[in-house]
Amino acid sequence: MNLLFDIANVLLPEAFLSILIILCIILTFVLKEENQNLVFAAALTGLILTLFSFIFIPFSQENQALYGNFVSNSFTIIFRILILIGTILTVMLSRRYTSNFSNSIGEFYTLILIATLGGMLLTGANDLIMLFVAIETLSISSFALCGYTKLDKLSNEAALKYLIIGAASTAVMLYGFSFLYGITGQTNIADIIKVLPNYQPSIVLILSFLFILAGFGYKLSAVPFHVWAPDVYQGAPIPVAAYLSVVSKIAGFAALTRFMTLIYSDISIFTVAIAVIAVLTMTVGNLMALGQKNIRRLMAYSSIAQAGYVLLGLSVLTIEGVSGIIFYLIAYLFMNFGTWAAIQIFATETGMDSIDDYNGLAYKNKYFSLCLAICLLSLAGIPFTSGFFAKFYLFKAIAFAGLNYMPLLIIALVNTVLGVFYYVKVIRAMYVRTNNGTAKQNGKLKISLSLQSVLVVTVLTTLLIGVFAGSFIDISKFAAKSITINKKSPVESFSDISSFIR
Amino acid sequence: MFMEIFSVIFNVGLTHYLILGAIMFCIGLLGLIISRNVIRVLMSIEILLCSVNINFAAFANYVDINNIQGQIFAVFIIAVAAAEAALGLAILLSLYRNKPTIDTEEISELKG
Repeated sequence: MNLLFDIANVLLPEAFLSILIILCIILTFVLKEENQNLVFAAALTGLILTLFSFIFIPFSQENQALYGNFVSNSFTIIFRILILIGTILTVMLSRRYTSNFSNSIGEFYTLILIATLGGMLLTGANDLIMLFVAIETLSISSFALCGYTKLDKLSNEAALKYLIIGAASTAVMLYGFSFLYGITGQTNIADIIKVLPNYQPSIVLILSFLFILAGFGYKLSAVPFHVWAPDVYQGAPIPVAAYLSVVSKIAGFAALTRFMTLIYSDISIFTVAIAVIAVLTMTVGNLMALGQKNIRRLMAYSSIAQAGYVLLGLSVLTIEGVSGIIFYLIAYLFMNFGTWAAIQIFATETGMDSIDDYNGLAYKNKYFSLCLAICLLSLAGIPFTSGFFAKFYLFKAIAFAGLNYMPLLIIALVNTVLGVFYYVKVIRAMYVRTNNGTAKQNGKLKISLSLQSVLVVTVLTTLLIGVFAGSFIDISKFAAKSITINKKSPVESFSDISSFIR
Repeated sequence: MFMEIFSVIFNVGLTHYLILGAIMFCIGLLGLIISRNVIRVLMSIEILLCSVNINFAAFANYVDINNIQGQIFAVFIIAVAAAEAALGLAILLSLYRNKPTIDTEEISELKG
């Protein structure tokens, strides 16, 4: 009875998704090779139905399910919706990619759906065991997806690198979990919070935090755990790269934000660590992106840098910071996906992914180049795009957090300027340079319907978020309300640090 | 003097298990970094996860004796580690078909 109540009240989308996964597996085995595309249709309709099932879930109050292992409140619901939207876009993006295969089409969509289930459970996981299983559900399906083009050497290599680094960082994170469990004797996060204030902060707690941060840092591709990102984004199939850079990252941010605000919010050394990683992440990401020749590697470093900005919002640990994170991730979902959709379109038509191949693209493909340019400008944070408002709102939260955060703000602004250079490099290649390449590049791109719709939807949403920024900020404020932060005053936290030094 | 050392070593407590876990964790990490053979790397990951299991089981016995949630956690880790190892070997096999090597230095087409 209890389980049924949970499902009706809290876990309805996840239940829908589970049924959809089983359906997709059955369809994959039952259907003949030429009818395998039916799995695509089933997955797409099922995901849209799942998105609508959020109507039946109470938004404003906090609900627990599965004996306190899963929490649903406005914060987790907004992240689950974002993950689902990202998955719908990924599925539409994969339509053209999977048509290259004669068989094994259904498994691709099934794996994407399983990864999404893991991501959705990760956002609301309220128990260390649940958190671990959710992360692994997300990761293991991603490993398989990365190596999906079995005959491609690069794809295999990307999958192997991703798996080794992923498994190692999960092990490191688990080591941190074990110390957290040893300190408190509990695995449920709600129980950990009850026990932890009685415990004097010690070197063990800091160690556990650093180990856990390593695990999450890998999921967010934060420096120094970012080395897998460029290789994987270059080698993996493009829809999978888009999925990893958007959906997997959003799920990781949701989990890290809940973890930080709930468990590690009262000692300032933790926020200092997050701030250091944020600064490193955006600086290294932007500097490395400047010299890239391949657009997929460029997007990898760009997504590393974007993760740095979001981590900066987390280091503030205020409600405004959290709402800034949410708004930034909403904008990031659409603008990043638009760019990946454009890369996928160009790669399927010409088979090339170097920036020089984009030379002179705008002469024949006006609308396509315009869409890509809008997404890139939005990523760069040029005014009146959604990226600008997202950055502005996030930086405002940092500026209002106090004078201590001023250096961070300045570094972030310098980094934003740095970022403009490499985004504009692609736009300059399309509009200013002329190409002396093959006939393929000179011709007009023939874009399939599903890819076209992904590009149009993402670009329009990017523009719309820019126009109606106020209402999106209201949504993210509402979502951030359900996060509680018990932070000490700066004076107290300073004495924390000095006691550690002594 | 001798008896003291003897009793410290042989009266096994929580610390001993934690030190064993830490040593295994270091061995795993070292193996992960220095081995050039992919199979060895996958084995190092298993050692890492085993060290975590030792930690969890020890803490469950000494800190959380009533609920033993740590042991449940260890069972989950064993299950997931098996899945991960299986997938790792599968990916390695499909890589080996395209390029017959298991040397990590030679698997380096992606860089820059």
